[in-house]
Amino acid sequence: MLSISACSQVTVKPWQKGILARGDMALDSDAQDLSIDDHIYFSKESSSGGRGFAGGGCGCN
Amino acid sequence: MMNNNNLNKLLALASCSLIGTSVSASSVKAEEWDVKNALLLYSENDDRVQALETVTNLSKEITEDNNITITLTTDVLTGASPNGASPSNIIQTFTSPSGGSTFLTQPGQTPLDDAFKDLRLAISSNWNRTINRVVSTNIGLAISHETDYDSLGINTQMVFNTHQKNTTWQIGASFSKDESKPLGGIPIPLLFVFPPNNQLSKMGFELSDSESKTTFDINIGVTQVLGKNTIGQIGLSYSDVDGYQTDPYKILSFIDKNTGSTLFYINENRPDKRKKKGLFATIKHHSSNGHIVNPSFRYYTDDWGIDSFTFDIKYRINLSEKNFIEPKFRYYDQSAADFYFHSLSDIDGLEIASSDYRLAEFNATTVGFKVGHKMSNQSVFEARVEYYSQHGNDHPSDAIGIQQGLDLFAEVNAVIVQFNYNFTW
Repeated sequence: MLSISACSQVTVKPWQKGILARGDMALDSDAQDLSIDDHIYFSKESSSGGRGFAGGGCGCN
Repeated sequence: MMNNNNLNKLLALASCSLIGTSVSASSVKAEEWDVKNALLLYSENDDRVQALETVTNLSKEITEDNNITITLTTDVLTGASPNGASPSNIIQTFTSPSGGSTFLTQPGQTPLDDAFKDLRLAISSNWNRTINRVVSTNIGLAISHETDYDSLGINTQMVFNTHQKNTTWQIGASFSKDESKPLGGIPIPLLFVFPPNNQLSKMGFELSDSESKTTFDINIGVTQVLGKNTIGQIGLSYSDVDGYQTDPYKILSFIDKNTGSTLFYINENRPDKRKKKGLFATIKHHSSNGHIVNPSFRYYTDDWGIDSFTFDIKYRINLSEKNFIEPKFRYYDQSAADFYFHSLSDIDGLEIASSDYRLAEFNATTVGFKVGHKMSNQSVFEARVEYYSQHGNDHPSDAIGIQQGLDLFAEVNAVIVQFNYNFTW
């Protein structure tokens, strides 16, 4: 388990964030796919949420 | 070289919201809409659920600090769905509540209601506002309508950047109200289901025309830059659901406690309260060979007795700046709800019970891959293919008599195909 205080000591300067600024490095770069997956798994399984809200908004579960 | 303004926007993307929203790509000019279209084709085994879904997401920077997003979704569903009854060694006949017709199930087969058809339309919108270098906020609205189900929800979040934007804190909440208006009305819980040839089956005993539930969610999370090539996120979520959560179309089989033969059926009934908790973590790492590995973990637990663990991992192989292939694997494992029964042999004192296979103990795997191509006009085309497969207990130890030779878990397998086309307009 990562320690937040240890993590906060990792300071990457703005000019060092070239890789992190790539579109495919965004944590929600596939937001559309993640949302569709949430809907599929909410319909077929009993868990929900995780990345965001609990899903639902449909009569599929 | 990127200027600071564009870089800040890309960093907002990199340390983006935990909750639902999608910040528009920084390469989009202020007067342009960023358009993302998805077409999903979903197909289950044995003529079960077949679905076609379209999702269109439109995002625009209204001013430098204000961004709006609108998402339109349509879902068309057909195919057969388990009605909760257990397989038996004789032909079974059922009335379909969603169609009013009758259907037969052959010996040894899982009863599937094939009159299941639905059309769903949904629209949601989000307004993201940057207050200053440290704080941004988001507010959203979501509406969904189906023939027999409506949902209305609002959500909001606040995002705080600290430590030169190496750390981002997110807190959000949402509230929604759903209304279930099943064809034939809300069935009386645990009531005896009259056979199709019985006049009483046409009388439609019902509790009411509709019932509702409310859902309150809260999320808190932190996104942390872990190095020049690595970013991580952990989050906690809590959800409180209050109201009607029974599936109005599902029944349970009551079996003879000596022979295992089906004697009759009753309507299911689920608790009207549910509290859920989740812990989520993910990391994205860009390796020196230009590929990106992205594992994620989720632990979930609720007061229905369901605990689950989810692990998924994607590995993006950037073949060039324009092309990628990304294999993916997902593993899911859940325990059964306290009130799940594959069938009943005793209903003394029974208040809640369901045979919905989705509440049973099972695990599931998803394997697949995605490919993507960026075109010369900067639009992007992507395609993914995945195979989803569930594995439950086909022969539970409490199977009685003739049940011991039957497959008692209606597990589903599905092929998922999706096409994405993203462009600016």
